[in-house]
Amino acid sequence: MAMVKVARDTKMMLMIPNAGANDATGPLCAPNIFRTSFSNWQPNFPMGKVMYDAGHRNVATITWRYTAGQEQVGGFKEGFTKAGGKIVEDLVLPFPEVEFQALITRLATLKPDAVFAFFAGGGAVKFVKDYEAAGLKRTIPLYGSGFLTDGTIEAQGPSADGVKTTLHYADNLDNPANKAFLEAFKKKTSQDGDIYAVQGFDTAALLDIGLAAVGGDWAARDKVVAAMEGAKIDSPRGPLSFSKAHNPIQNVYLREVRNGRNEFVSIAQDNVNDPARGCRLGA
Amino acid sequence: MDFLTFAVQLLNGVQYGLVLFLVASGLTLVFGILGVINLAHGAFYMLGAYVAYWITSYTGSFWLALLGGVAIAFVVGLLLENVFIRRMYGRDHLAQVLLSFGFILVIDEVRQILFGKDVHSVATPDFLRGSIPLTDVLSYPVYRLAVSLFCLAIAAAIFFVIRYTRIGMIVRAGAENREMTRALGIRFDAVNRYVFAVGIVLAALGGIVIAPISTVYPGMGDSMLILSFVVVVLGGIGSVAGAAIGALLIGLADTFGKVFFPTFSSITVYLLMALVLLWRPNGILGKREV
Amino acid sequence: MANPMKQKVLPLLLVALAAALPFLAPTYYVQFSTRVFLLGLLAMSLNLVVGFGGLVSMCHAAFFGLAGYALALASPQSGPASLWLTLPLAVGVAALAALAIGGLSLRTRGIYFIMVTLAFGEMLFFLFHDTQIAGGSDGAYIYFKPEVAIAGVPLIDLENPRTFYWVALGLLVVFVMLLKALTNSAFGHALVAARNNERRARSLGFPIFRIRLTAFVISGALAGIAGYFAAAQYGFVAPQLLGWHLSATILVMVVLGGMRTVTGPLIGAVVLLGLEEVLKALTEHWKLIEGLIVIAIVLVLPGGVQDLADRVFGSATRRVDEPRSRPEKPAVPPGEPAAATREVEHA
Repeated sequence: MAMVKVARDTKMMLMIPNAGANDATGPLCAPNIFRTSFSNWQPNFPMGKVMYDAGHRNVATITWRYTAGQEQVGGFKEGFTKAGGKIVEDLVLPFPEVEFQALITRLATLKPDAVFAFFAGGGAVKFVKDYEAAGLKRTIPLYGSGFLTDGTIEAQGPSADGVKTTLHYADNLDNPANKAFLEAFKKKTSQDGDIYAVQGFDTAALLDIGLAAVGGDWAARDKVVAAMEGAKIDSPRGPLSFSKAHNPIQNVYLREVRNGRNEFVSIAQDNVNDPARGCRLGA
Repeated sequence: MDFLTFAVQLLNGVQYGLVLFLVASGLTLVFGILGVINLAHGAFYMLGAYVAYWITSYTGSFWLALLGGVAIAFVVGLLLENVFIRRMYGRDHLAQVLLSFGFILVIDEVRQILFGKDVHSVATPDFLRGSIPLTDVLSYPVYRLAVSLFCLAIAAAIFFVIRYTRIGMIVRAGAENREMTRALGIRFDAVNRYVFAVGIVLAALGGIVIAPISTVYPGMGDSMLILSFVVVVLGGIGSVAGAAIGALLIGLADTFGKVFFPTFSSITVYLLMALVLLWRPNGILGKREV
Repeated sequence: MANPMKQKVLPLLLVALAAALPFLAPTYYVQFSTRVFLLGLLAMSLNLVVGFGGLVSMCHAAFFGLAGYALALASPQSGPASLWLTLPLAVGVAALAALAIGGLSLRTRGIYFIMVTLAFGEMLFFLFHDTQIAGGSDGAYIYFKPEVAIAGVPLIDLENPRTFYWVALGLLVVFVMLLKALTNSAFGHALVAARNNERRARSLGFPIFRIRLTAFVISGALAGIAGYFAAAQYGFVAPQLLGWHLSATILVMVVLGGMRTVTGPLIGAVVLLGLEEVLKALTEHWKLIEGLIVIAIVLVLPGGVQDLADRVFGSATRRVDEPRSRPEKPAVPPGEPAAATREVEHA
C-alpha cells in the first residue's frame, strides 16, 4: 500500500502482480495503477454461494487479524449472507501467530456446518494440519480462500485432501493457454507453474499490449492506459479483462485438493468484477 | 463454556505452557547460574527447529533429528561459551545484551543463507501420529500429549540433577558463592561451559519437538524469546521451579485469553506479568533483594 | 588541558557544515541525514537513562513509536494537522507512557529492569499490532505533514525536504544543549551518583526513585519528539516502530558512539546508519556483517568509537574530566558473595 501511495503521488505507472489489498483498486485507485492479480474480495465472494448451495447454512470463519484476512473473509461473508447463509462466529487470532489449538477447540464447541478459513504460507500449512489432527475434518468440512492450499500442498500432505477452495486459477485448467503456459514454464524453469507465475506472466502481457498500442512510445501515457483498459487477454487462467478501477475481471474457480494438486471442480462464478468501492475512476 | 470444553482448553494451555517451560528453563539456568543474559535464546530455538527440518528432510527420521539436533546444539554451546561467553562474566548487562543481539543478527542471516526465508514442515514421527477422540467432534493429537510428557520428563531430569547429583551441587554452590567454592578446589571453567551448553540444548530441544506441531518459519525465535523472558521474570530469575510456575501461568493465560479476549490475548500475558511484578518485584520465586 | 578551540569552534563548524548540506547533496542524502538526526535524537534521549542513569532500558522505541502513532491518529485524511496541537499531544502521550512504565519498572533492578522494560515495550507493540486502533499490523498513513502556522499563515513548510532537514538539525542543536545543561545540573550529578554507587547516594539522602523516574520521563518525552518527526517524515507508522529490535538497535548506537557523553550516541547513530548504507549496497546479507561488528565492538571496543579514537590518537581526544572508558563492573568488595547481582537457584 505504501507503493500505491507513492505511485499516486509521483504518477509513476504501477503494475501490481500479486498484492490483493482492496484499497489499491478502491479508494486509492488511479489511472496509472493496474492490477493483474486479484482484490482480496474477489476470489472469496463466489465461495459464499458455493457453500450455501452445498447445503451449509451456519458457517464459522477463521483468519488472522489483519487487513488481508478481514478483506478475504469479508468477501466470503458478503457472498454467503447474500445467498441466505448465517455466520455463526468470526474467529480471529493475532497475525502471524500459528498456535491455533485454542480456536480449533472453539470450533469444535461451535459445531458449525462448515468452516471457511483464510491463511497463507506457513500459517496455512499449520492450520490445515492442525485441523485434521484434531479430527475436525471428518465432521466439519473445511473450505477456504485459494491461498489456504496454494503453494502449501506439499507441506500439508494428506491433511489437505478434500479441502475445497476458490481462486482465480486452478492447476489443471483445461484451456489451450494454460496448457501452453505450463509446458513452457516447466521447460524454462523445471518447476511447476502456479498462480503467482501466471500473474507475473499476465502482467508482462498487459504491459506488452500497452506498449504495442503506442509503438513503444512511453511518453504517450494516456494511450497506453487506454489500451490496457481495453485489453482482453487470453490468459492461462481464462479470459482476462480489466474493470474501470483497473482490477482484473476474471473467472473464479472452485477447486478441490486431490492427488496433491488443486484440481478444477467447476466455475464458481464467471467474470467476477470487484465492486471497487470507493474508487472514483470512470464513475 | 461447558466443562468438557473447559477441560480441553485447560489441556491446551498446559501443553503450551510445558513447551514454554522447556525453553525458558534454559534461559533461567544460564542467567541464574552464569549471570549472563542471552537474548539469542530464541534464535537457538529457531535453529533447533531448522536443524530438525534439515535432518528429517535428508534422513526422514525424526529421532535422528532429535539426537543430531541435541548434539549439534551442545557442541555449538560449548564453542560459544569458550570463545565469547567466557569474556562476558562479570561484565555489565548492557554488554551482554548487545553481544547476544549481535548473535541474533548473525544467526538470522546465516539461517537465511542456508535455508532461505521459506516456511517448512516437519513430519510427525510415525508411531506418534493419530489422535485420541475426546468428544464426538474433537480429537487430541497424540503427538501433543507426547510432547507434554517429554517436557515433564526434562523438568524432572533437571530437578534431579540439580538436587541429587554432584555436579548439581557444584552448580548450586557456585551460584551461591563462587569464590568460596573455588577456594575449595572446584574448577569452574568446565562447569560453566556445560551449563551454557545445556542452556542452548534446552532451547534447541524446544524448537525440535515443536517443529512437527508448529511450522518452521523465520520469525519463530522472536515470539518465543519474549515469552520465555516473561516466564523467567514472572517465575524469578534462576529458579527452575519458578520458570515452571510462570510457564504454566502464561500458557493458560494465553490460551484462555485467545478464547475470551481475542483482541487482547497477547496483551493479557504482559498484564499478568505487570500484576505479578507489582506484588513480587523479583518474580514469584525469585530471591528477595539483599 | 581541554582545548578551548576544540570545544567552541569545532561544534560550530560542524553545525555550519551540516546546515550547508542541502545545497551540496542530492535530496536522497538530505532525507537520509534527516533520518540519521532523528534517530540520533532518540539515541541521545536513551542515553540519559542508560549512560547517565545506568539503567538499561529496552523499551525506548515504544515511546518513539507511540508519539508517531499519536500523530497518525490525530492527523485527518484530508488535510494536515496542526503542529501546535499534535506535537504536545504526542509528547504528552510518550511522557505518560514513560511515567507508567518507569513507575512500574524502576521498582526492579538489574536484569529484571531490562526484562521488564523489554516486556512492556512488547506489550505496547502488541497493542498496536493486534488491535485495530491504527490499522493493526498493516500500519497507518499520515497523508500530510503537520502544518506549522499561526492564524492560518504558514511559517515552516515541512513538506519540503530541505526545510524538514533544517528543522531536524535545529532540534538536534537544541537537544544537545538541553541535555548538556541537564547532565551538568545538580539533578544530573545526582543521577550519575546513583549510577555509580546506589547505596552511597541513598545514604546521602538522594531520592533515588524519584530522580530516576524523572530522568526516565524526560527521556521518554524527548524520544517522543524524535518519534513525532520521524513519523511525519515517513508519512507512515507501523508497529515495528515500537518493537524491541529498534530498542536494541538504539542501544547499539549508544554504546557504539560512547555512553559517557551527551553527543556520543549521535556519533553512534551516524556511524551505524552510515555503515548500514554502505553494507546494504555491498551485499544482501548486510545484517550478518552488522551482527559481527556488534559482537566485535562488545568484545574489543567496549567504549565505542571514543575508545577507538583514544587508542588511535592517544590522549589528545580525551577530555580531562572523562575517565577512560571502561566496562562497568558492579562494585563487590572481596569476600562478599555476589548475591546482589546474581539471583540464586535453590531447587
